Amino acid sequence: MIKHILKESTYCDWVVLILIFLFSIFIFFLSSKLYSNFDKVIIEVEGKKVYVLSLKEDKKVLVKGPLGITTVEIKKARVRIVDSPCTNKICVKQGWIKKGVIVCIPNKVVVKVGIKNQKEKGDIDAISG
Amino acid sequence: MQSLDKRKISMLSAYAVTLNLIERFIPTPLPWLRFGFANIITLMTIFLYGTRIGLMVTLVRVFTVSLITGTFLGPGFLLSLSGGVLSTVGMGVSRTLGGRLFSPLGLSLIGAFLHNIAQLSIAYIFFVKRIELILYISSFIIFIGIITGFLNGIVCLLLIKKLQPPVI
Repeated sequence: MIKHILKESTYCDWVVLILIFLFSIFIFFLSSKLYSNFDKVIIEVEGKKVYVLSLKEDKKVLVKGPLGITTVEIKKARVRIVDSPCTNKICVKQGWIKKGVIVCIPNKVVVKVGIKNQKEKGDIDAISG
Repeated sequence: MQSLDKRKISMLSAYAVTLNLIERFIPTPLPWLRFGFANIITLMTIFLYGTRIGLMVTLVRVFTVSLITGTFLGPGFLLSLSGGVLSTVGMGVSRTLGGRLFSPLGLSLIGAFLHNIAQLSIAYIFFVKRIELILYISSFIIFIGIITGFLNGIVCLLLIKKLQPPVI
């Protein structure tokens, strides 16, 4: 049967197969470039983007909020808030995160890890039917 | 349209509708992943009777299936209509222009690819509107399309050999 398939199929068939395969690989790399927000750390103060950092780079940044300076640390692809001028320190107690959000409400600092920054219109969760 | 054509179209559409409905019962790891067995019928029709009848069979199939499953004019209907029409036209044109350049295998791959392209474009224009999401998913969808298109193409290749001269 395989012999028969090979005999009946033409040279162009396999060219088409390879071309479509290459196309899908190309799209894959293109999308992974566009989707690089996955390893971005976005720090916002009062709803405004202040820092956009890479999760892969170890770094310590000082973020100025209305109450004072919040210290954010990136280390080994994890993020935490080291110190905050707020009274309850919920953000500091949250500790290290790999993905998600740390919020300090008193100092109005938001740290987003691997999350898209903007909400866009026409955002549909799922379609059935 | 001649009555012989009508008979062919209705017979072939019936095959296509049946295959399409049966494949809905086959469990797949992802809900939107389907084999597209109906494409076998479309391709066979193009090969045996030409593009015009193939397009008719596809349209009748899409409309009938959507009426049976209750998705008429819904998002699913729009997706299958766009995919069906573009893949049929694409296969027909490649068949006409390419002549003996492509066997059913190649045409099936082209059809599966165009089917995916049409559906992804429609999904982008009407439903999702986020290009990075569409691109992200399209590489996988096109890759799966290669596999299903290849399998359908082989079925066509073997069937057409058996069906010469044309029956029905």
